[in-house]
Amino acid sequence: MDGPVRVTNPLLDVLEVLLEAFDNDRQELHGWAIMKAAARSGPTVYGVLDRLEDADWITGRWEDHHPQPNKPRRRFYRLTPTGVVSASRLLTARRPAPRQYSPRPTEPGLTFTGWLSNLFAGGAR
Amino acid sequence: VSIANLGQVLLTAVVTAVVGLFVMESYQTTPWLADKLMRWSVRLRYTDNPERVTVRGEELISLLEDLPTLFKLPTAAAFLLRALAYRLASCRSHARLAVQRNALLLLTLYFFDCYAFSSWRHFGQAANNPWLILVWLYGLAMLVPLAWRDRAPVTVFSIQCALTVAAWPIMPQYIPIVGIPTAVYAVSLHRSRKVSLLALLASVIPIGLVAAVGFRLYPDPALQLRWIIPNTLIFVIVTVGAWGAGRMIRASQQHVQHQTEPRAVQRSLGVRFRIAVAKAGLVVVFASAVFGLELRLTSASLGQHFGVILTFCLAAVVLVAIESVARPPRFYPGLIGGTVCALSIFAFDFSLLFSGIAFGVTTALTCALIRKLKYVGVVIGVWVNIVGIALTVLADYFSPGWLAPVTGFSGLGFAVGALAGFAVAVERCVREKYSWVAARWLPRIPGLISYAPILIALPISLASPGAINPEPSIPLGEPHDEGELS
Repeated sequence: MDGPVRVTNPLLDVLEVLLEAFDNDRQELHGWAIMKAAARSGPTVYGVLDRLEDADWITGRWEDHHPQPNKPRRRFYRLTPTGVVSASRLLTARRPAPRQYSPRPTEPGLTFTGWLSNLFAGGAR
Repeated sequence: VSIANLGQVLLTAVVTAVVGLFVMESYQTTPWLADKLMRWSVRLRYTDNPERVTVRGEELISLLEDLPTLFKLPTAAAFLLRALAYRLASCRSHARLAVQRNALLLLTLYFFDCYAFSSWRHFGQAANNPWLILVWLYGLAMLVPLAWRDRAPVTVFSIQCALTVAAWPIMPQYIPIVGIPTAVYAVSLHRSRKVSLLALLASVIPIGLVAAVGFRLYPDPALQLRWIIPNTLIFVIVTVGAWGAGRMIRASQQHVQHQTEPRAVQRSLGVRFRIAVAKAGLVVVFASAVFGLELRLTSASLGQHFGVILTFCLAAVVLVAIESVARPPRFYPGLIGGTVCALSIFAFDFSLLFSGIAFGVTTALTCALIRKLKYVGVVIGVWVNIVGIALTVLADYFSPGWLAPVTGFSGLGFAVGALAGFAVAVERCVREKYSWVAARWLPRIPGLISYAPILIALPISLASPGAINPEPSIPLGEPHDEGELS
């Protein structure tokens, strides 16, 4: 146990994605984007998000309205200051050499479902 | 084209059209079905967190909108499967806890029931009196339905009434005690006041039958009255006490459920204390009833047994109250030791009392306990104050895990003397360690070291006849040992 959250590989994957987004002009990511970037299934990613929210490592924010008309608003996540410090420390300890996630579709060994999802979603993150 | 071939072509065309329609309709209905499955999975997964149900519900529906249509249904199904797995694991965990809790409770009730009936003492006579085995089996069978008291309290109460009434003709020597009060408690806790009052009234019949056993036990009318009157009183007190405790706990639980604000949660701590005290009060009533029955109000050593009852009740009160406050529940060897020894005291003629430091209990918690437990009753309150304050002081001055035995007494006066002497030893330690100023002013702090007024208020002096003030086994009040102790 490295802190208030149970450390698993999906958790490290999600933290890497969120930390990368934070380093990139403190971007926020919605659930589908996190799923694609971490290449993890929805239930897994949202289970991790639950734990991170409970530990106050991330915070969520509703967007005002979806960019596309007639679509429901999305919830965006970003690391809190505590989360940034804790995630950096955790990833440094557990994954000294961070994995590269993008561009995933052209990587060899990508799962079939991941390839399909990127194909249908236009391959964009 | 032959007719047979024409049929095949037509069949192929129809099947193709049907399959096409089905696929198209499925494609159209998939988002709707996924939406339903997703909402269901959210409700299943976050049952204990209504706020998150709202947030995740909207968020995951939005997620479905972002997904390609082909993925909507599999994703929703995956969420649903995960939620079902979570609920299954949660149910298993709850079920395991419930089984452990019920097993412990039923074994305790069974012990009390058979002990009050005093059939355990006839254990060696089972070969000559085979009906004893039947009584033990019947007692056990009576208590098993109580495992379902929280799910179907009224049904369980009815079963208890029926079995108690049936015991009257089947087992002339059997006196079932705990089944009816426990069932009344469950009804009172889980059902409305009207239903619980009806159950309380209905319990008069089995209670009356149980109390009337005295007519069969004693031929002499004087003996009959001596048996029936006190036992009827005890049965009524126990049953009404169980009903009252159930109502009080129900009201407190409803109050706690309505407390959602942080400040209100703080206030609910006091309510949890009340719940604990009510439960402990129930234990006290049960214990008193069992020992009261055993004494049958004729024993010459009433004071001695009264001391045992108080000791047992004290341990039960403190243990239950601490368990209700400490999150997560922790193990307190000192208090449990006190309870176990109190029970074994009775079996071995009350030869030893053992009291101990509650491991890991903080000073603030102990002080809070002392303040709250005063409401349990004057006698028990004084006991809790003496022991609790002594524990508080000692927990302050000595390292956690230290154990303070209070040994060797054989009566109520001795017990109080021993415990009071223990507190005086603590006072002496404070005086020598922190000068007379501390000894003078510290007792004035509410709930901290206020044992001096309590000792003065005690009706029994420290030098009461027959009391032996034991020397504590730790070097209290020796300044040169302070470094080693702290």
